[in-house]
Amino acid sequence: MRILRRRDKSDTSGETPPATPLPRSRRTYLPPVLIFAVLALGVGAGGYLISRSQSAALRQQSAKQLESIGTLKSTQIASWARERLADARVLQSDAFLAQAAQSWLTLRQPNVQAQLTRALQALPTQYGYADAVLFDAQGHPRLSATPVDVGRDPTIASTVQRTLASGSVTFSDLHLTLGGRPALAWYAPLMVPGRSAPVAVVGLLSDPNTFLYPLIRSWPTSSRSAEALLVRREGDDVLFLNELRFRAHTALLLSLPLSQPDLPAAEAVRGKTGVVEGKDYRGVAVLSDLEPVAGTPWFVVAKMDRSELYAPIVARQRLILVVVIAILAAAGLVLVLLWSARERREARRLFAAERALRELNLTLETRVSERTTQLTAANQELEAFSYSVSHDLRAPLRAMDGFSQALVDDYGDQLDETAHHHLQRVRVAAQRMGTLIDDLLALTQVTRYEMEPADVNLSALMHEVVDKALEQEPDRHVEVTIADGVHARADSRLLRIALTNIVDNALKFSRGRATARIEFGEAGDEVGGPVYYVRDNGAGFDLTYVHKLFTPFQRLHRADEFPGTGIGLAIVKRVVVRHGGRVWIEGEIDKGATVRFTLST
Amino acid sequence: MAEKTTSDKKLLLVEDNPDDRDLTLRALRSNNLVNEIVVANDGVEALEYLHGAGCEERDLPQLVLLDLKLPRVSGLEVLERVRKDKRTALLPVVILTSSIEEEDRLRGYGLGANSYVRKPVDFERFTETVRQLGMYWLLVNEPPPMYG
Ligand SMILES: Nc1ncnc2c1ncn2[C@@H]1O[C@H](COP(=O)(O)OP(=O)(O)O)[C@@H](O)[C@H]1O
Ligand SMILES: [Mg+2]
Repeated sequence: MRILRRRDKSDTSGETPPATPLPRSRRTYLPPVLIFAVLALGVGAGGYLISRSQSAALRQQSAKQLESIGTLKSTQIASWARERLADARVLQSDAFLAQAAQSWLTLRQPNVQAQLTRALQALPTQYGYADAVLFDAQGHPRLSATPVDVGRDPTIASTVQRTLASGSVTFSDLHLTLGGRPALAWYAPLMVPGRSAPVAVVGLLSDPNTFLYPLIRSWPTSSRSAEALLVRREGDDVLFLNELRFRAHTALLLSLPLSQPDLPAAEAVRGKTGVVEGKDYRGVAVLSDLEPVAGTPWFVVAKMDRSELYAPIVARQRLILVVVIAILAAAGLVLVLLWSARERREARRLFAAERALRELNLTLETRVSERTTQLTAANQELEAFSYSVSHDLRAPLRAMDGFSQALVDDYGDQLDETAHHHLQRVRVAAQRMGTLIDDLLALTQVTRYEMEPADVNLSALMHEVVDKALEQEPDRHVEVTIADGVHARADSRLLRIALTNIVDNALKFSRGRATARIEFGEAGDEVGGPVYYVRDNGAGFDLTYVHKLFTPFQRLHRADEFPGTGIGLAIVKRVVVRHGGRVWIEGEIDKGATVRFTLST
Repeated sequence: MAEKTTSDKKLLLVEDNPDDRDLTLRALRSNNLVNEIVVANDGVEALEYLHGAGCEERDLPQLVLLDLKLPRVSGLEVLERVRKDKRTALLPVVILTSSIEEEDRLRGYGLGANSYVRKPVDFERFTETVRQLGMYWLLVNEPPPMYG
């Protein structure tokens, strides 16, 4: 006896597939990286904006500070110069002094000389001048508060002459004396009533080192680069009037071209005021406040190195950068921790799922092998059963039929009509049972058969099946329509059996038609593949009982109407199911029937 | 066990079922095809007749009708031994059985059966089948030379 081994899909052979691990969800680091990138962008942008606004504020603040210092200096210098001018004006309008000077210059009275000298000496002590000198109408120095000889200084001489000529207070701007010292002076003409020309001139000589330069040099805050300059125009140059912080011996000696761009001092002289950026005499980037000094040809340049000014900005920026980096690092750390925790959770979950699956697989394996054993046993039983049915069940039937006939043959003349009839019924029953057994065997045959799926040309197969069926009924008029090129992966032998049963039905139930029509084709798609159909124009059936038709020996037509045992569609179903497909039938009384099926091998 | 007639046409029927045996004999006789029918009730008897003591004196039958499902030694086994034995290797053997199991047919032909015939349930068709068999194998068919 053949040991049944099926190779089709529904087969559950002894070996079980190896437990395949769950497809691990690919560990992706994209989400945290993305989150971090967004965070970094946000924090970075925030930091940048904060730093920018803070820098702007700081810059504005330092500009303001610089401006107020510049303004303060220029007003202080202006008022100092105005006071000096006022001093000169007071002298000019001192009638007593003029009278005394005139009388002493002509008469040389000693007491008057002493008076004049006292008056001159009061000026340096009370007002901080370096010296006060009395010149005669010719411009010669006659008396002075200090014993310094100023007689040969050309600047003094020429200015005295101008004062004598103009008869008004004259300012002698900062210049270098013959001794190379910076000096400036105011000259007041002395007038007496009745005379249009000055009778004498008093010169108020000032040493900038005593007040002006210190005033300029002083800075309200401590700074390593802050500096105030006093400049004026000198031809096409700008002349630096005071001693510079970063260069020695420059007072009244250093001059730079007026046209030099970026030079704050030059810009001041050119008329610009307020806060500007530029490069100072050292070529260093500075922020400067430019202010003219009212009532003088001077300009104050209050400046500070940008590097110093902006140091807090840079420091602030650096701080912000550090904070940003710290925030990002912390965020990154938190993210990494969160993510790895998530990953661990996920891994644990996966692991648990895998273990569950393995366990399931294991129980499944034992269950499968149990089922396989059961199935093998069942198949072997079926095999043995079929074999025995095939050999042993038919012999008694043959005896019943055969001996009934023998009775008729040998004793027919002794039997009456009823006896003959009864014997005939015995024979019919025996033969019918023989057919039933054969049908049952055919059904088990389909079940037991070992499938060999291959590409099957269903169109060609259908042609063969129909031709063969029509051979049995050469007198029928049948119109056959078979769609071309219908292919399927299937077992051709099983499919031939199924198609034969379907076609037999179609022919059988369209027997009453003058022209029977049988149509085969492929229509539409079901989930699971194409749907094939066989349609006829026969007697059809009542749909109410359609569900019974695929059960063995179930029929909707009487045997005397349409002969048959009711095994055909059960075989069809068995074949289709073995291919993993589905079969159903549609019909309507007198309108024909359509069998549809799918295959998915 | 032997039933002799005067003719030299001899047939060996191997059949354990008495009903089938009687029906077969009945069908054979009704057709008057054969003079001598030797009946073996199982495989052992069949082999005894063909290869056993005194077989040299006996003529071989023109045809063996062999059932498959037999007690003791099965029909297929009988066939196998018949083919293996030089004396009966060419003996025409027709399997006459109820089964048309694929397995049986494959092995029957595989072991060298000359033909495989199924016994129909319908006695009229059975009679007809047996008649055709007898006609063909005893009258139409030329036996292998040694049976001349
Ligand atoms: N083409 C058809 N037209 C009408 N009825 C059909 C058709 N095919 C099947 N049937 C119905 O289904 C029943 C079962 O069919 P089947 O299993 O082939 O058995 P059988 O052909 O032996 O009757 C039939 O008796 C009939 O009632
Ligand atoms: Mg049918």
